Amino acid sequence: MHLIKHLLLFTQNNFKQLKRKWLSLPLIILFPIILTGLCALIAVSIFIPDEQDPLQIGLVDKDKSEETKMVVDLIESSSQLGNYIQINNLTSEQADKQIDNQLSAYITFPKGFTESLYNGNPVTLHITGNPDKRTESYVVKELSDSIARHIRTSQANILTINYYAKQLEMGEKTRDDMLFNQFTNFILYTVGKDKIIDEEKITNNATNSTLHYYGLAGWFIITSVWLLAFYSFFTKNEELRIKNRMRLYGVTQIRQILAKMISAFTVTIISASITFIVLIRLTDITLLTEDFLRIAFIVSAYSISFLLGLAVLETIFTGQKIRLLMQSLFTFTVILLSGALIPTLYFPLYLQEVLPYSFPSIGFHWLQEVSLNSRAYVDFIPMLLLMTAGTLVFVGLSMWKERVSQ
Amino acid sequence: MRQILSTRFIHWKKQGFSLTFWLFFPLLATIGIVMITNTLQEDAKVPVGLVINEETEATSQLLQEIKSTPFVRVKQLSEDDALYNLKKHDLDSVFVIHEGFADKIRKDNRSMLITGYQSDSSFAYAPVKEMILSYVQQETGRSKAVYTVKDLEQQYNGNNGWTYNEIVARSKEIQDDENLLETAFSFNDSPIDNTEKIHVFSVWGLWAIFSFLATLLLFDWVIKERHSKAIMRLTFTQFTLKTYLLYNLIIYTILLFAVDLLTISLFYLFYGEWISIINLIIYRILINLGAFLLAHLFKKQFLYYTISFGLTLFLTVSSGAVLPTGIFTDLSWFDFFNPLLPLLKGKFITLWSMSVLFFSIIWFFTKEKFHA
Repeated sequence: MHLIKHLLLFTQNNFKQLKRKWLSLPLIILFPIILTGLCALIAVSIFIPDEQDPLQIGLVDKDKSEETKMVVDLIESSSQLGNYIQINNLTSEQADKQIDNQLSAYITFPKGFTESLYNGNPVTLHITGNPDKRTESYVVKELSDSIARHIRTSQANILTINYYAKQLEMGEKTRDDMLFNQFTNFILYTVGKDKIIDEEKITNNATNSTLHYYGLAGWFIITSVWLLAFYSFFTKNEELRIKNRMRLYGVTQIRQILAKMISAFTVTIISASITFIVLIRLTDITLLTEDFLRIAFIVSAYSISFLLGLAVLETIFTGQKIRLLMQSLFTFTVILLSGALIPTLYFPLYLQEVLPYSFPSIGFHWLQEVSLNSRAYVDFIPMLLLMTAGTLVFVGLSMWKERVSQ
Repeated sequence: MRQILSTRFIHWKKQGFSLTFWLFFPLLATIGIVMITNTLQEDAKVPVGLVINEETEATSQLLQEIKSTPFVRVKQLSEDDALYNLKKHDLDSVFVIHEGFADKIRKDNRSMLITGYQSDSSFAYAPVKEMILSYVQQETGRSKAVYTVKDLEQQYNGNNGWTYNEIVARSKEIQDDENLLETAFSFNDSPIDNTEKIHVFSVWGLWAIFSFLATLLLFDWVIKERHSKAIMRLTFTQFTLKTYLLYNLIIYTILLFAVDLLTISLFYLFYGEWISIINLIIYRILINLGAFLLAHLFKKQFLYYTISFGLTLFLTVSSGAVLPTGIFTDLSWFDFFNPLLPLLKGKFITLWSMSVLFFSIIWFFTKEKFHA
């Protein structure tokens, strides 16, 4: 009975503290939302490049032969790459000047490029990137790697034609002209490579769209950060004397932590349900009452396991700074493992084997299934098992610590 | 000064473990994260489904080449299975190789050889498609060369009887033997060797954020000193509170700077990345002053810690040192406040540095609280 009395007392204490410091409540609630919003904006701007602000790439032609001029003109005027990339023909000095601000990268065709191409000598294309625009420079690098691959194969084929042509009775000039013709042909051939593939896009309207997935993932991340924030909010660092007094009354560390967990859980669940309903309304997902019950269960089981993890870390680490560091690391790992940031499909194989045993991935997986894929069945048993395991670990650690410190 | 130094040493003896941990935390954390991301990046693969509708040498060669690509994990399935998995989002994309693939290539007909399916959450469809296209293009290009050679042969009445396979073999030989075209990538200021791995995160950006956090956390001595009961005794010594705090600040700056020099040498050894020392000095001084002033606002240590974690998180996301900023490249609204700029870009005069200097000057001229 003392357990329940103490729990009630501490929980009441926590809520009184919340009422006293009610000003910090909006701050804690808004902070993860702002942060996630910023991340979402950044992610959107990476994956959907701004059409008004295309990638600027420069081409510097130091060779100035007919072939390179033709290639540069062709690349500059081809709209194959769409509005996302704009290619400009520049001189070396212009490129040097512009590399620091607008240009993402520039490609240099060195002197003697065409000659070496025809004779089969090794040639290096230099790509200089803008250190301020790192990701875009890498996109350009990938692009130029694939261009180089195409040119390499065309070059091999042209050289083959040259080899066999030398064995025929062709005049030198005719052969050179023919080679030039072949060069043009192969360039056009490369440009037309999309003929090979017939592209289709499958959309599955019954299940999720990207927006829904990321909306749900964002809500999931925000809830986890709220759990951490409220848990830290209710943490008090008491002096040694008060701790000793409390021990005299039979209050163990475990009851305080349990009370913290209960208060953090309640507050987070309230705010999370409000935001979840807002999310559902915004994205037009239809859910039945039983779906809501299932989601409530999944989210509660996930939150309790998460809070248990935080509690275990609190018992192990007594130093405040290190405890905070470990708890933030724990939160970050949990969010990463759940698949909210990067879908679990892209994890390495050895990580994917661990996933069925970790509560974040199970939680997020079932959350997805119920809300986005309209699944009617949820397997409760793994989550319950993990929760019980977590509780046992926590209780054991805490009791062991009490013994040791006495 | 010597007395303050010995007092500080007494404190440090008690906090030995915590102090060393937070001093070396930026260094270790940066190295750890770079190592982890490099390993994970090598192992993170895109699952792609391949459906092969005919069994010829050309298709099995194509399959081998695709399987040997580093960033793709290939699953060979039947068409129905593959499309079903794609709809379930278990696969990133599906490519179907139709019947008559080998024949069509032989006849130099390259239209509609492959069908590619992507779903609406496919991230890697475009690069994988490009890669497959380049392999197929190799084969069709060789075929085209054969027909050109045969045309020339007929045109010049040669009767050498070169066969299809012979010409294709010659083309492959030339491609393998001669190292034909290479690309070299470098940034303007620091040339990166092409064989060296390019890191996903910039090393100095990571280190800047972690050292920001570590500095903020290390400066909790300000809170402890200002709110300890023993501080009143200072009035009976030759030091005022301000000089006491100032001397401690100098001690901490020297200690942190020594660790920074160690960091620079280690990073240069491991990763070949260098940064100018002036940037580092100014960054260190500004960060220390900033943490010093920030710690004056707090009474409880725990609140200060949570705020420092929150600030660091905010800084990570918005400053673009670690994550690439898409929108903010032009507006750069955050550049006014960005504490990391002096280190990463060498811009010393920003709103941030000016306000830090301004507030430290104000602090220096405030009235003393305790008088004897």
